[in-house]
Amino acid sequence: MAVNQVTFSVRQGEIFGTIGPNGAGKTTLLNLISNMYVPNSGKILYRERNIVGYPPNAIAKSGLVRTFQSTVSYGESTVWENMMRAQLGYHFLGLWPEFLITRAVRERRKVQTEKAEALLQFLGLESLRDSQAKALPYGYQKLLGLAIALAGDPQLIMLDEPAAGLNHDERLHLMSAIQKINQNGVTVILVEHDMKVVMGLCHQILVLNYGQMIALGAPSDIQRNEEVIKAYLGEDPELA
Amino acid sequence: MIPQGKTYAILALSIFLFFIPILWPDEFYLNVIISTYLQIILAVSLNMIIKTGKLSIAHAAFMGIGGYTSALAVMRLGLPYLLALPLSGLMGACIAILVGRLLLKLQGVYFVLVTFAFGEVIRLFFVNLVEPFGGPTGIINIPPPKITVFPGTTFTILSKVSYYYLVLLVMLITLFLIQRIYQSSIGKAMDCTRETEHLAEFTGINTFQQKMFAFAAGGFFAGLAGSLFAHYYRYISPESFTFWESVNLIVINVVGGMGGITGPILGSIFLVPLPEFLRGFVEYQRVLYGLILILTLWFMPAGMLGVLNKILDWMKARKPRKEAST
Repeated sequence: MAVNQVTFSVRQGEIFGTIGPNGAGKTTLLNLISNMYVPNSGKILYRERNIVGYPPNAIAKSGLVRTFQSTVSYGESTVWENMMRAQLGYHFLGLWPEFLITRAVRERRKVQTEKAEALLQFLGLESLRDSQAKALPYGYQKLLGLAIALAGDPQLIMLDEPAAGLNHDERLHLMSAIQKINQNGVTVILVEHDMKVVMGLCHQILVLNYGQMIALGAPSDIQRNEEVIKAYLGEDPELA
Repeated sequence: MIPQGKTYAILALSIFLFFIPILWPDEFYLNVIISTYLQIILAVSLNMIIKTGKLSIAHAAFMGIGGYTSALAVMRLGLPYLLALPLSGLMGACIAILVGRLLLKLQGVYFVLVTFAFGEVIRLFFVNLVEPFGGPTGIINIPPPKITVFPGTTFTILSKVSYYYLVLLVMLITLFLIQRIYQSSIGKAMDCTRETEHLAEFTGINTFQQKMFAFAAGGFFAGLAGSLFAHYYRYISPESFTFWESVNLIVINVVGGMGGITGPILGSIFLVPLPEFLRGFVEYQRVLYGLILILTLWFMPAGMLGVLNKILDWMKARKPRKEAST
């Protein structure tokens, strides 16, 4: 069993961190919440509604958007095209208006163009708008993944190891971006390996080990929790 | 949106197509052109299904369904052809929706295999039901389409020339509609579904609905082509839409290039007339298609369209240099 007996709640407006050693089930947890996998039992409540069994596109449209651990984008397309494609699924006006390309569809395209522009500026990607997505340096590909998720106007964004593989500067840039996203009222669930990122950003942290929940609390409590130190932090000389 | 110059070029080409039977009223060539047009409708509608990342080898079966529907609607129910034609399209779409609910959940090679099985099931269904489908001999003596424009004025589409216009009209409407779909957000969402399905799904695109729409619309246009086919050749039998017909449609898409509607059009224009001009070697048609397929994959993986685009790029690259030197 990849994840078992895990119960927690995320408060609106906070940054919620999930940590744990490799194979602890952090990504599985995200896959369950975003309904990539269906749990054998249990409930996932989002705005007081059980979302288990909904198709992932419906979850995304309800404001719960995720990113992926590996870099995921439309590789052959440019950064700009990626931003426009990222918005296709939202505000779909139905087959007929879309087919006829009505005035409402054209208005929506205008709004989406502006939003794509604003998002690229926000993440510092505007100079790369004509680059092919798969040709971008790794750090920028991860930022593009974040931009694609933000294009859905999420209320709750789930980030799967956004800092993995980034260098020091890119990491700082990403942390400030996550903070800004959160300040705009977006709740964040962060799955991360990098302790500095997690401890620096999160209001609440969930620690998983072998699919079991071993601790839940504020960063300062987690740092002092003996079981956590044994399972995870003990391996890290900087924090032990 | 298509740029202005291109619109005029397409309009001019369409008008030219209307003059072909006048400039070139040869029965043999008209016959080849009509079968090419029918194949274009089929290949382009299959292209729409391929656009969502699904390779169906049951496409010819939908043509068969349309053909039988149309023949029976006219011969048994006495419906006018102008009703039987859309009805055969709708029948194709309905069956596509029914089986699509199950089939489109399958991934990759499983989908391909099950569409193969579905195509065979449809063929055997018609082979085994003598009433009303005529069993292995199919339905013969299908009447030519009678089209009532005003009450009292009925045209019988009997000659090759008049049939040419009927098929041309349906083909142009089909191409216009599919091109329009490709340009709309629906077509773009189809591209997303094909390229990175899980990303599309997790950014709010209902990928299943996209595939369903393409499969149903593909079934609709294949049904139309089937109706035109049945009333043109005046018969329809299970031999008209075997597995090999479906494979030919895929070969046309691969050889032409799969990016948009231009590829399958080019592929049809190249591959459909080919066996007609090699009359003595009809039995070698499959060998020839296989050979062309291998050569295409080897030398031009993006198909004829890829080669055409390369030539256009090359010409564009040469132009400014010439201007600079003068």
